[in-house]
Amino acid sequence: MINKPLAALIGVLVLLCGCRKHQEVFFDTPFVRIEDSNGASSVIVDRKLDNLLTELRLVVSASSHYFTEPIVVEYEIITGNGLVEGKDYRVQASTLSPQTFSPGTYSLPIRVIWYATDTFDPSKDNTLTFRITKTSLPEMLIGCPGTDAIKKEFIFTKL
Amino acid sequence: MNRFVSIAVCFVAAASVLVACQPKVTPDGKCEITSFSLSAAKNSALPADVKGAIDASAKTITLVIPTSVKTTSFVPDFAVTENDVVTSGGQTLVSGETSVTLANGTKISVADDVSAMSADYTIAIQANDEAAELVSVCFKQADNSALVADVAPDAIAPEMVVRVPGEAFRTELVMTVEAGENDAIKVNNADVASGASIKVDTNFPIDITVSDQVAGKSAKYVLKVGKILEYVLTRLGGFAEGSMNDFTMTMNPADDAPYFAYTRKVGDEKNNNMSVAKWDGSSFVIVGPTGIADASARSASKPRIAFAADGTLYATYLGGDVASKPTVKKLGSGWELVGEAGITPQNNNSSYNYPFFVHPASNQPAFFWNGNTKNTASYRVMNYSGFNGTSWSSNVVSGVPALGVEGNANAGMYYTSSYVIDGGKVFIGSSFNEYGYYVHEVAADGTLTAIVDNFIPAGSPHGLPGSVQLKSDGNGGLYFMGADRGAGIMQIYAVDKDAKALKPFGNGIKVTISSNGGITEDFGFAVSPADLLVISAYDGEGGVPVFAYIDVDGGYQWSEFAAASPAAARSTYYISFDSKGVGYIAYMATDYTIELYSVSLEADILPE
Repeated sequence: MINKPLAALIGVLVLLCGCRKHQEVFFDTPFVRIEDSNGASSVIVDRKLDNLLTELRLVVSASSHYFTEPIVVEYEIITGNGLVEGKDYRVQASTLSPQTFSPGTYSLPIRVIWYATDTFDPSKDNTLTFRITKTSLPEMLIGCPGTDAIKKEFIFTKL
Repeated sequence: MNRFVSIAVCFVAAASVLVACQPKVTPDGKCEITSFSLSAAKNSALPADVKGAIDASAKTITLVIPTSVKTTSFVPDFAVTENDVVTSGGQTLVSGETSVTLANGTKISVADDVSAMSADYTIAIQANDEAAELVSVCFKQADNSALVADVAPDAIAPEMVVRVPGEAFRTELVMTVEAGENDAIKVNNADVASGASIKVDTNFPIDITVSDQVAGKSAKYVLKVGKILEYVLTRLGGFAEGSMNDFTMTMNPADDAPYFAYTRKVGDEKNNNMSVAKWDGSSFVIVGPTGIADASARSASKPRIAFAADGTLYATYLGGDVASKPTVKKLGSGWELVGEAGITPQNNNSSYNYPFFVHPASNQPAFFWNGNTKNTASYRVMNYSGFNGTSWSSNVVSGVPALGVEGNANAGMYYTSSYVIDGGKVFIGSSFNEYGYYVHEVAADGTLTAIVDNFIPAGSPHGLPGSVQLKSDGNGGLYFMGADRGAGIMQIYAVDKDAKALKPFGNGIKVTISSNGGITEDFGFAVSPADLLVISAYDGEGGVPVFAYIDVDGGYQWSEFAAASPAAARSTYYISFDSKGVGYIAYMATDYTIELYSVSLEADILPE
């Protein structure tokens, strides 16, 4: 049987072991991502809906250390062979690539309007992909930090 | 003497030596102001230090002064090159000490004390409004042929919506923007000068960025261009239970739904009985047990319902078993008799639907009626019956036309009334033979207080019985519909409570005055609580309904709703709005089906 003072001493030592100094870890890697208002990276578009406006957002994460000059972000649009620009969809001209982030601006929209079409071929590629390709800040990662670099692209699928 | 001369010579010699020993001042070859600032410490009007921007070649000193600073008198701190003296308006300036007026064009002179060099600097004041702000945004009619007027948001805000007519919706429009002092504007990433215009694709939201480099601020706005929403008429459906006979429609304040009281025969029933149904938003559903009248009733007629504020449902009908006297029932676990069957002491004149309501003051049912038993006090005059929670009492109403004035036995005969409950008060609009129109407030005991007394439309000999209706806009405004016999029109009037008069509201609608003094067409109307929209339905050619509206925003002219081949009507029209502004129009078609339509704003379409 352990006496009470010894038990108390062991308890205090255990507590002290847990009192290691908290080490602050700072993440300061700038990165840019693309997502919709729900934070998703893909969405299904109902082909029966006409004049459906969708909005993506390009979001840069960069501390003031990096963000002293405008940051230019470029992206590409990859249209599946089942879709036709101007007939199935249209991107707001002012939101086309490249997009320039002034210091203090962290999010810019990319807007796509979708049109109902009666010529839908499910055997074709009916996706529309917005993929970030380049930024003017050399240190900036494309997509979220991590090996998967998620949110480097957004995929619409018209069904 | 020699001694004095010697002293003088020595003094002069010493003075000469002293003078010769002073260092010789060499001009620095410069005559410039090297810094110029205004400190908040020495200039209390300034919220912060102001550092002047010196353009050495243009000889200007630019000072950014907040527009909130009204003074032009400042104590500047400045530095100059060697041996330079600074003056302004002939006044020598000492850095940090001398107050001087600094305004656009003020000259600050600097002169080299040891050379002939000098320079004049010009003060330039740059106002700093300390904000980046969009002042106005507008689609001008002059720039956009699809618009009938300039279109601008109600207020400048981070997110704004404007609405344009259908012709301009989802088109390219010319937009004019204006921003504040020193503000640069970008519309959809394109530079636009303040006060200038730019074409925008209104399929998409419009991004507007205003930045003020002087203030070091920026602001973002998004403008969405939507469509001016229009009211649309929609047929909701038709309803019948067995072989229909008659109906009325009443809104339930508790669930905001239209209810229908109707008489009908089902199966092999020989006599009409009464039932209640409602529109639940998607279909008609029966409310309570069908066949409200007692089985002994030979034939129920004049079906009407009324609601307490909590939605308690009361029904009344004239029952053949009690000699065309009204009976009232309340819906509990079943239809429960309220008081006794056959309430009134005499038979009712069944020519019109007399008001049946639950008085908010007593929370008990009551109704007006016209007696049809000769040689009784109730005969052909306005009577009131009210329930006190235990029993019914009935009395002849005073303060309204009496029967048989000036030798005309039928003059003053009570025709009909229409009631409305507004703000916890009951109001009725009434007509009497060879009299004008009346609007009264009704006390719980049936006592009337006149609001409009014997209003006769100009040029008309008197009012007419047909389609007299009283409605409210839900906000204290009362509206009365009655015929103007002189003009041959059915007219909606606003009730002017102060002037105690009826004021025509919109144009009248042409009607046919029949030989018996009534109007041929059936009418109904209602006023929206959400908008000053008046809708009406009335018999057109062949009894086919015409659905019309007055939208005050578009003037006081009647316009017609497009309706796809509505069934011809055989009854009058019951029209009411729910509390959200959705209108319901019901009528009985010639095949005895209750036809129900709704009037509501079209679905909103915004680029979002």
